[in-house]
Amino acid sequence: MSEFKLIKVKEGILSENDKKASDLRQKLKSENKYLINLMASPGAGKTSSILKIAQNLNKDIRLAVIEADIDSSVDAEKMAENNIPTVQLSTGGFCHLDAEMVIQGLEEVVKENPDLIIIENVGNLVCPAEFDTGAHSNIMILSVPEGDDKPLKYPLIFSVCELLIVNKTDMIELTDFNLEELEKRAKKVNPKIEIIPVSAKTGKGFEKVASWIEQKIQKIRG
Amino acid sequence: MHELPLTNKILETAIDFAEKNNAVQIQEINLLIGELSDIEEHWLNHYFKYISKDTIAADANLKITRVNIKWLCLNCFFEFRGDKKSDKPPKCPKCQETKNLELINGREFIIESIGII
Repeated sequence: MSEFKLIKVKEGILSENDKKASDLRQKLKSENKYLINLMASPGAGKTSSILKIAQNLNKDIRLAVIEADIDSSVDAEKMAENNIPTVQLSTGGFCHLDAEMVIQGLEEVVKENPDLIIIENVGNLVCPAEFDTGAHSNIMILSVPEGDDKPLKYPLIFSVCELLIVNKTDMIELTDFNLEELEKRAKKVNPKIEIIPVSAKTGKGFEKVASWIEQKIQKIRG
Repeated sequence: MHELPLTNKILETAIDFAEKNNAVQIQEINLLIGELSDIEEHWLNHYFKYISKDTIAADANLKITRVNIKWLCLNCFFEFRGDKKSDKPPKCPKCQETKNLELINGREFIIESIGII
């Protein structure tokens, strides 16, 4: 009869993905390409925000987009109408993107030699936060109708993002959304998070988002 | 929501280590999961039962230990525990720093060990 033995494993369940992500980050840095992972709920305004960012960015910056959708190409079509090189990844029911899927998407968009690549992750506040995509910055959008209590319900996503964009502030008067409360709650899980209120409808605030991104691009170029 | 691919990864890694150690059966898998992770233990167990059928890990017990949130103050290098339920932002108890803090525990997702025969 065999004896019970306890074997040390000490292996991160996501370590394979983490390694791929970190290699990708290094590789892109050496090519002077900045990768942003944009996360939000469905309907928070990811696509319209990317379009506004594109309008506000310095014209010298070449932007490309990786669209992740469970099963449609509606967002990719919108990007194409605005002449932004886009690749559509069909996640086929997957709730998130991982580094491997991003690497596949990049193969297409690097042909356009972009300086900035934005990943529009799957609309979801839970799963995308667990997987490192290889991005240099994680950014999330929270829209006013979703409520200011989201950092309490989904702390992980707020803890992994450098920038929190608060969208649909044009309708803030119609709700009891409290920006100060949101800031307090978001900083509880991530004291370094920066917050920029915007409206993708009016375009307000996107010059600040664009300049935040431009500074990051400057930094990576050293 | 993404418990299924993660459960697959747990099973793969456990079987890999068990086979290297000439195991005939995996009896337990010990996991460390950070407090900030949204993993649902119920679904982890449910999927595991399903996908481990007909493997040496069938009927293995998934033992989950949650890891508390811990912050490192980058100002004075003091480490302190965070409270997930508190509605106050974290503050270094030693030097009162509130901004320059780094999360060092709370996001873990690790297979710590496996129990085999």
